[in-house]
Amino acid sequence: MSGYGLWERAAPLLLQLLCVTKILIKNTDKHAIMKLGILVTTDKYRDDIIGLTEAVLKRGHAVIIFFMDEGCRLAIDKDIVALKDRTGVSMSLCDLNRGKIGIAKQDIREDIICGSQYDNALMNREADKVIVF
Amino acid sequence: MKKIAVMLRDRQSEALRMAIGLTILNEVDVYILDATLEANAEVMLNIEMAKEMRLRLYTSNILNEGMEYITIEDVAKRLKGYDSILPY
Amino acid sequence: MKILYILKAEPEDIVNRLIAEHKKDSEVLVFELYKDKDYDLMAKMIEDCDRVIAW
Repeated sequence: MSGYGLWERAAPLLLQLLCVTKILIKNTDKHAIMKLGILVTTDKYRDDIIGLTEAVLKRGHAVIIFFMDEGCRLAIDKDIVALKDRTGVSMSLCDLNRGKIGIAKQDIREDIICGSQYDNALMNREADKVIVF
Repeated sequence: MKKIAVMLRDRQSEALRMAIGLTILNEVDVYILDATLEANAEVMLNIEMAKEMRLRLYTSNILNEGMEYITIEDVAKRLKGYDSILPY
Repeated sequence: MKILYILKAEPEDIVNRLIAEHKKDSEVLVFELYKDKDYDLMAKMIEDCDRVIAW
């Protein structure tokens, strides 16, 4: 009986604590590390991909890049590939598109995953925001 | 799991293939706005597969058969509910 | 809700219509990437928005 009384008294306090925690989490989220997904479907935006990736990294965020379609051509561009050496950058590509375009597998750096649309699905699931180039 | 809108533009077959692939880990809806659905075998095959996989297909162009008609006003409203919007 | 439109080219009519619709009840930001190459600003805008659409 006395235990029930304690819970009754503690419940409003616990509720308040929950609200404060929620507010704290919401405010902290704005400054949390963002994972930006970049879906590369063409080879037209090379400089924009490099510029944006560098700017996003400078702000302390992470970048996930997935190349598909004509975008696979950029997976052998030395300046794009060099981004992979930066902390916080991961890259994968659609191997089906790579083959169709005629890029040899041995021309792809070994730490770039020659995968499938599963890797795109994974990027979209993991990234906080995704932009298409 | 994220909620994703794939907006078909000029490379419809690849966009549809991608939309289907994204469903492995995400919930995906497909939109084709003013454009007309290309009547080639590859697009049609991907449309059929998308339907089999229960992707929802929306269009603001009444000429696109087999897709649910939606106004631009409603597209704009719906887009706010997606985590990612992928024009392709 | 803050919606960011990143425009890679001059916007087509459909994009302008979507922007106009979103402006009715949301804060809409537009980054004209085809004119403006300020990637630092672009990164900050991506960070600050709730939704991003790159047309």
